[in-house]
Amino acid sequence: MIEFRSLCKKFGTQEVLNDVTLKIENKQVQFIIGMSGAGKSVLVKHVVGLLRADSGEIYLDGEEISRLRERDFFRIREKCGMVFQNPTLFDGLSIRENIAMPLRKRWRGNKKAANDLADEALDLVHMSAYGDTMPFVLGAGLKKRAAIARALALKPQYLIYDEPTTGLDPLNARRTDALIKEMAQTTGITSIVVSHDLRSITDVATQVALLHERKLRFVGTPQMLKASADPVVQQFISGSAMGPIHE
Amino acid sequence: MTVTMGFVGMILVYQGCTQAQRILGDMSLIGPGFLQLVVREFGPTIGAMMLATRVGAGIAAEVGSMKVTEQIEAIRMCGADPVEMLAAPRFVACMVATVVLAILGSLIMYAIGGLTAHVAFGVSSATFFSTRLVRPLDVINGFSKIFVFGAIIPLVAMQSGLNASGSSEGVGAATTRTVIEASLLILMFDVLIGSFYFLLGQRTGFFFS
Repeated sequence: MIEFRSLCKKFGTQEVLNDVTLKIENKQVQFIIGMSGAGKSVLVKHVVGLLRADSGEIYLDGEEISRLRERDFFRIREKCGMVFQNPTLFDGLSIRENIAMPLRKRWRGNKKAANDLADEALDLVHMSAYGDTMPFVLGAGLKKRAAIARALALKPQYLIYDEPTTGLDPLNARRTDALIKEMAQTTGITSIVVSHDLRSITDVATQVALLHERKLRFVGTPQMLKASADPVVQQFISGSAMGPIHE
Repeated sequence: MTVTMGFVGMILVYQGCTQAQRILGDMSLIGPGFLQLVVREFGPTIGAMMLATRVGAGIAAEVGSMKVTEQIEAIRMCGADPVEMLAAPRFVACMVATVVLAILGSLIMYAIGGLTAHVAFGVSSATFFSTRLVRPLDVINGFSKIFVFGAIIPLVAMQSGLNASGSSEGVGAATTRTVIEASLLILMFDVLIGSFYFLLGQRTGFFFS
């Protein structure tokens, strides 16, 4: 279970998160939604120590992790993978080598075992034929799947997806949604998905949290989201230009 | 870079010979004096400034792009230290490149200078290519500068690249910052190292002067 307690974060004088408290239960597909710049990515990057909170606490399976040192976050990052908004594959390495990289760093060598596990991860995302391919040859959808395979290689208990469907065509976006759903069902992984793709929310989410003006505005199921009487939630769902949400 | 160093050698020797011919009427010290300047000043400093604009800017742009496209964060997620993974190989490569290119550039600068003196002013190669003014301390001075400048370029470039923010604008700013800061530091350390060896030469007498 991941729990944020009264989390606050500022960049300079700009406040991004203010008193955010959220509990993410195991085996959920938790969507974190909101306007661009609402602080969704900032929130999830705290879990893996890529950003540090100004105040508040973060608990991962009961352990308070917000004050850990960079070195201590290595074990947290094995437990909690992340797929970035950009595919972040390394151009000089083949897809298999990209996926094997975290494994080789973890084991300090043992190339064959790392490559075998990389092939397993590729199989999970239905990309077995692409192991020797270089990343620059692939389209955006396949790159995103390869990035998911890399995050899965360490067999994490939690997987964070930062805007997985952004920049993809509708077909690849739905394929990515289906993959997230499949991973959650077949591996039992807890998924945290940052998104503003309404179709993804309807198809994949089991829980939704809406960030608005630095605070959590809504937490509940997708059905509760749709039924909410909150004008902010309704404007977000309808995508209307008129309403309480401003730039 | 070597072509530029060759042209610099040509211009400096041409100007030096013109002034020596006008004021002294004797050009026998042009070659040895020029070699001394190449060894302790022009070779390391001009070579390093050119490397800062080419290699330093390249490193800053590459690392800066990795920073703004979240690849640095991806490296951290893979359990690796981005500074260790990116900085260490670039530091070693830049040190080696600075040493090799500064020596090669100095040789070309000196050779083209000699050719210019011979063709334009009739200075014989035996007169020009003389090492009589170059002392061991000049060589130590030159190599000290090469090693220090070779370290400054990747350190400044990595620091600027890793601190890039935003998008392509941030990468551009990191690149510009690298060229300015590295060039400024090279000139500052040129003065400091040069002054140190000047004082050392005065204290240790003729052999090291």
